[in-house]
Amino acid sequence: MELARSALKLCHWAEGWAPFRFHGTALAPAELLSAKLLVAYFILHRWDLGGQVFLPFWQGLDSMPLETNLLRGIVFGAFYGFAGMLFFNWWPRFSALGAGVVLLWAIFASRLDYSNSRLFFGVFLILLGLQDGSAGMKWALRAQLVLVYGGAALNKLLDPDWRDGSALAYYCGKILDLDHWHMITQVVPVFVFGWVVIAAEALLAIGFSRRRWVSRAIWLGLAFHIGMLVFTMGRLSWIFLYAMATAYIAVAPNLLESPVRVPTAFTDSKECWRRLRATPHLYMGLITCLWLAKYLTDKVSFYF
Amino acid sequence: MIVTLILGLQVWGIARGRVEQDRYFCWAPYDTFTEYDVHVRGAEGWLDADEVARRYRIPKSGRDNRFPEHVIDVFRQYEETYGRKNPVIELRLNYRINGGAEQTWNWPEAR
Repeated sequence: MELARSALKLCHWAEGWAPFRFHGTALAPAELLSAKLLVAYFILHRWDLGGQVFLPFWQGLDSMPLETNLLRGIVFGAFYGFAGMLFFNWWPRFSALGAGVVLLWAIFASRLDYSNSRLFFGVFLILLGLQDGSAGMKWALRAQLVLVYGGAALNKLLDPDWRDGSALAYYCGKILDLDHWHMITQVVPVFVFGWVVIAAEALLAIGFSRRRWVSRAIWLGLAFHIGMLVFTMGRLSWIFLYAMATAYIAVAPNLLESPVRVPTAFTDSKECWRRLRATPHLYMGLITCLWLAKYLTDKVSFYF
Repeated sequence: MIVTLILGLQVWGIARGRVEQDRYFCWAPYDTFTEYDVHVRGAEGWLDADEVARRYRIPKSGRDNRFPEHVIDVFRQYEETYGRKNPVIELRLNYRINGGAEQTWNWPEAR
C-alpha cells in the first residue's frame, strides 16, 4: 500500500508541471495523453520527418518554389512547434491537428516516406485534434481502428499467399529464418498461421466497432501485437505495438476521468491501487517502458 | 464533416486497393514481401550501387515489405519527371513476390 501511495504522490506532484498534466484542457485526458505519446515517439526516436519534395504522390508539389533544405526546416520547425505546444497544453486540439497534418504532408511530399505506421500516427493525431472532449466523438477513433484492422484483414483474406500461408512462411522461414518456425511447421500446417492472423485482425475490427466490446478488443489487440513481437523475436513490430497501445488509451472506456487525488489516510489498499490505475502517469510509464524495451533491444542487437 | 471525409477517404483507399496493383493508403502492412534488384544503363554505361542510390534514393537491391508496384512507382515516376533531363537508356527491375518466381519490369515500358 505504501508503494501505491508513494506512486500516487509522485503522480500528484507531476501534475503540477504541464507536460504531465492531462486534466482541464479541451481534450479529454486519455486523448491528450495519447496525442502526447504519439508525438513523443518521433522525438524520442529522432525519426526523420522527411518533408522534402521528392517523387510526391501529387506531382503538382514538384513545382513548389521552395528550396529543399528550407522546406525540411519548415517541416521540422512546424512539427516541433506543435509538439511543444501540445506538451505544454497550449491549444492541445489545434497542436495535435497541426502535428498530424505535418506528418501527412511529409508522406504526400515523398512516396519514399510512405509507411503504414507513419500514416497511422498522422491520421490518428488529426482525429485526436478533431475531438471535442466529449464521449460523443470517440466513435471516430474507434472507426479508425476498425479501418486499420479491417483493411489489414481484408487484404490478407483476398491474397492467396496469405490463405495458403506462403507469405508468412517466406517471411518467418526465409527472411527472419526463425528456428522455432521451422520446428513448429513440421507439425502445424503453414496455412493455419495465415488464418490465425486474418482471424485476429478481423476480430479486432469487429471488437472496436462496438463500444461495449472495446475493452475485450484492447486485450486481444495487446495479446496480438505482443504475441507477434515475441514470435518474431522482436522484429515485428515495436512501432505498431507502441502506436496501437497508445491509440487504445484514447478509446478505452472510462479511463482517466478525474485528476489524481491523494487521500490523507488510507484504510483500503484496493482503493489505493484503484486510484493509481486511474492516473494517466501509470499508462505514460507503461508506454515509456515499451519504448525503453525497444531502445534497449536495438542497442543489444547492435553489439551482437 | 472533416472526420467523415478522413474516414471515407480510407474506405476509398481500401476499395481502390482491390482494383489497383499498388497498396497505398489501404492498411496493408507487411502483406507482401518484394525482393528486387535493379540494373540501370545510362549514357556512360551501367550504374553502380552508389549511382543508383543517388539517383533514386533507394538501394540498388533490397527488400520492400509491400507490393512490387511501390518499388516500380519509384523508378517510373523518377524517369517520367526528374529523369527526363538525364534519361537512362535501359532499366531492368528483377523482383520476386514472397519468394516466388522472378519477374521483370522494364523501362522504357512497352507501349
